[in-house]
Amino acid sequence: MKLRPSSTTAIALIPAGAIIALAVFIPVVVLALENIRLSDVFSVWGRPGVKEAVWFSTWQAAVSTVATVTLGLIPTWILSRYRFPGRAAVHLIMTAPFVLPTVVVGSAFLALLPDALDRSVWAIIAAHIFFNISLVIRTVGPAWSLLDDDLIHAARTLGASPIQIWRRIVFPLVRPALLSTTALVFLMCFTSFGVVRILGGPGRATVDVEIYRRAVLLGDTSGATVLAIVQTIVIATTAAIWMRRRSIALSTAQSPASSFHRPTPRSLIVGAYFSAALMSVPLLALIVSSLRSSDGLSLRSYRILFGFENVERLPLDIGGVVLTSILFAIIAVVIAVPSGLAAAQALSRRREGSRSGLFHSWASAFFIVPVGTSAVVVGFGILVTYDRSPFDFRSAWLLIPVVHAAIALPFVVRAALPIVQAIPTDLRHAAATLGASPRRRFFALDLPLLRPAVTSAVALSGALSLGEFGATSFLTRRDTETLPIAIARLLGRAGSLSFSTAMAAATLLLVLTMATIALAEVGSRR
Amino acid sequence: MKRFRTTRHSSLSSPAQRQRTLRRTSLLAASAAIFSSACGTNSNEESIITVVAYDSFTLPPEVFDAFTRDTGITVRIALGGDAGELVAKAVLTAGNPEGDVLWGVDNTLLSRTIEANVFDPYTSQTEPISDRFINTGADVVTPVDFGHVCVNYDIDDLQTRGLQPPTNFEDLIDPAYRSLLVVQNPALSSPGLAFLLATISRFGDNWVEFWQALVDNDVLVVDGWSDAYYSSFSRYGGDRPLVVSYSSSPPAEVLFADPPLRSGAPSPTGVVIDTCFEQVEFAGVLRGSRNVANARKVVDFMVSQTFQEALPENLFVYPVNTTAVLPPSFISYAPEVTSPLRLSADEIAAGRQQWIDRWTSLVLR
Repeated sequence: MKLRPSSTTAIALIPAGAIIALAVFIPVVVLALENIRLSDVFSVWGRPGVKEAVWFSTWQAAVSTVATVTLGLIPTWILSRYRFPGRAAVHLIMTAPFVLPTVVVGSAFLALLPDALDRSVWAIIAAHIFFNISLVIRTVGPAWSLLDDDLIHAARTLGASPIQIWRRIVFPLVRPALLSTTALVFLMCFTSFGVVRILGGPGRATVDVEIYRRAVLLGDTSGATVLAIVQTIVIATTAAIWMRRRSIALSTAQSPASSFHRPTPRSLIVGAYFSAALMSVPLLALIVSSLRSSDGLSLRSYRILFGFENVERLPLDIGGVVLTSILFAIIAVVIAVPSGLAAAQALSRRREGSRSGLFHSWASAFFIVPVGTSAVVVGFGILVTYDRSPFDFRSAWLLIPVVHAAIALPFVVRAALPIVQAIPTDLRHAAATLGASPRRRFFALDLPLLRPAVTSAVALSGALSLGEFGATSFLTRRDTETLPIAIARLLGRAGSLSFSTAMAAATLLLVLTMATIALAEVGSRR
Repeated sequence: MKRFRTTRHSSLSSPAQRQRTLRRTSLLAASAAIFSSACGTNSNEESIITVVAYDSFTLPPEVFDAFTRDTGITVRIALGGDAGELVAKAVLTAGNPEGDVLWGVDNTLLSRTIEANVFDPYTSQTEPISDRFINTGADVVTPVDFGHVCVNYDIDDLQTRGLQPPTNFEDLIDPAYRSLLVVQNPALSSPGLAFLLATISRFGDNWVEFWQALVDNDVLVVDGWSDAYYSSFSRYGGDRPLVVSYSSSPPAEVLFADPPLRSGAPSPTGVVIDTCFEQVEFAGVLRGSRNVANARKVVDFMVSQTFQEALPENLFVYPVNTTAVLPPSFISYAPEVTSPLRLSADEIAAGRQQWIDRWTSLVLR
C-alpha cells in the first residue's frame, strides 16, 4: 500500500537537514573538536554555578510550561474553533509577542510588575507565559481547526457529556500537537536567555546563561562547549522520545474555514477579548515608553526614527536597518518554509513504515537541535568553522538569514507536522488511483490542505528572523544591522532620546512582526 | 561564408532567444554578484581594512573620509558584540582574525587578549599621547581613549527625598542612602567590573567588608548597564536614584534630552567624583592580518587629532591625544575627574578571577 519508498522520504529531509547541519550542527562540532579539553567533560559539572544552573533551568521551565500550556489552551480553542468579530486582531495580538526581542519585553515587564515581583522567579515565569502562549496558539490551533465537527455532534447525539467529549475526542485528536507544543515550550523556557538575564536578577542563571558566562566572560570556551553539547544532546533525545509517544491523528481533512460556521457563545468571545487585553498590556507599555518625554507625551522619537528630525550624534539609518531586516526575513522564509514543509511531510509518514521508525526518531531529534543550542556557541562555532578561504563566510551577510532559517526550522516543522499528519493518506491514494500525477496530487490536494501549515510556517519564520538577536549579534556588520541590533545599540547609551528612540524602534519592530503574521494569514486565505 | 554567418547569427539570436540568453546572463551575473558580495571576496582587498569593534562604536562613517582620501585605504567596520563578547571572539579567532584592527579592548580585559596572543605588537608613536597612558598597552596595543566609571545620581529624585548627593564610597553604606543604589554584576558587565575594581583600588583587601556593608544597605545588583540605567534608575521609571554609569553620562543626558534643555540648564544627573575608576581602551593590529602595514596606518589615524576629537560626543569617552580639544558639552557637563581610582592591567589580570568569584559568593549567594 505504500506509495513512496522511504528513500523519497529521506530525500525530502535533505534540504532542511542540510541547513541545520551547515548553520548549527557542523559549527558546534568543529568548535568542540578544536576547543574541548577532555578533562572538562567531567570536571565542568563541579565548577561554581553549573549545578545551580541545571537545577534552575529545569524547575522554572517545568513550572513555566505547565502554566503556559494550561493558560494557552483556552484562547487556542476559541481562536481555532470560532469566528467572531475582532478574531483576527485577537489572534494577532496573541501571537506577536513570541518574536519580540527580550530586551524590549524585559523592560516592559519591569515597568509593569509590582516591586514585590521585580527580579523574582515569578517575573520570569510571567514573561515566559507571555512569550510562549503564541507557540501554543500557533501549533495546537491549526490541529484543532481541522477537528471534525461531525465527530463531536455524533458524540453529543449519543449522549456524551462535554467532559467525555473532551476526554475521548478532542484531547486524543489534538494530543500529537499538544505533546509537540509542550516539548517546544519546555525547550524555550529551559534555554531562556534574555528574559532570565533581565528579569531574573543576578543570582539566577539558566544553563544558557551559564554557557554565555563561561564562554564570554570567563574565557572557559572548553567548559561552555561541553555544557552546550550535553544540553543539546539531552534536549534532542528527550524531545525525540517524547514525540514518539504520540497517537495517530484521526481527524478527517476538511477545509478549516468550514468549522467556523457555528455561533460563538458570548462567554467565549469575552474570554478571547480578555486574554488579548491581558497580552497587550506589555505591548502598550512599550508604546507608552516610546512616547514618553520629560514633559509628557511626544512624538519626537518617531520623528527621529523616521528621519524627519535629525539629532546630531544619534546615528540611525532606519531605512537601511528596516530594509536589511525585511530582506533577511524574506530570505529566511524562502529557505525555511519549503524545506521545513518537505521535512514535515517526510516525518509525518513514519507510521506507515515501522522499520524506519528509528531513523525517523533521530531525524526528528535532529530537527530540534537549533532550539537546544546556545546562540553564543553557534556564533562561536561559525567563527571557527567558516574561517578559511574559500569558505571564509564570516563576513558574508547571507550567513545571517541562513542562520535565521535554521533557527526557525524546528518551529516550522513542529507547526506543520500535525496538519500534515491530519491529511488522510486515503485521499492521496484515491487521487493516485484516479490517475493524478504526483505533481497534480501535490497542487490539487496537498497544497490546499497544507494552507494552515504554510501560514504558520511563513509567520513563524518571518517573525523569528525579524526578532532574532543572539546569533545575529555575533555575525553582524555595521552595514547589515537589523532592528533588534539597532535597538540594543540605542539602549547602550545614556539620554532620554536614546531610550525613547529605542522604544520607538521596538514598536516599529512589533508592527513589522504583526504585519508579517497578518500578511501570511491573508496570503493563505486567498 | 557570409550566408553561414548570417544563418548562424539569426538562428542563435531570434529576439526571444536573445532575450532568454540575456535574461540568463543577467541572472548569472546577478547571482555571481550576490555570491561574491555575500562571500566577501573583493578584488581590491589590499586597500580595505576591517576594524572589529564593539556594538556601541557609532562614529559616523564620514570620520574616515579624509583618511581614505589621503591613503586610499577604505575602512570597514565589523561589530563584535559588547566589550566582553568582542574580546572572547578575538581570543577564539587569534591568528586568523575577522578583521585587521581591533578597537575597544579595555584595561580590565587586556590581559586576556595578550595571553591568547591576539595582537601583532604595534604601538603607535606618531601622535602626542597623554603621559599617563604611555606604556599602558604593554607594547602590544595603543591606548586610544579613556573614560571613568562612577556612581551617577538623579538630581531631582534625591531632592524629592530631601537628600544631598553622596560624595564618596562611605555615603553609599550610610543608612540614609539605604536601597538607593543599583550596580551591575561584575561577572557579566564591564562597568560592573570597573566598579568592583574601584572598591578594590580604594579599600584594598577590605573591599569585602565594604561590599558586605553595601549588601546590608540593600544594594540592587542587575545584569548589565542597560538594565541598570533604563529599568532601575529613577530617571527612567525605576526606584533607585544612584546608578553605576560613566562620568560622561551627564553630557549624554544633555545632548539627548527630550525636550532639549534650556541653554545653561544643568544636567539632570550628576557624578560622585570620588567613586570614579579609570577605564582605558586600546586598539591594536590583529595577528594574522594580511595587511599589517595598512592596519598600522589605521591605528595611527585613530590617535590623530581629527579622529580623537570625534570620540567624546559619539562614543562618550575622552581623547588620549593631548592636542585634541573637548567639545563644549563635555567642558560644561562632564565633571573633571582629576585623580580617578586606578589599577594596572597586571594587577587586574592577577586578581580578576578570584575577585569575581569572591564577590559572587559574597553578594549573590
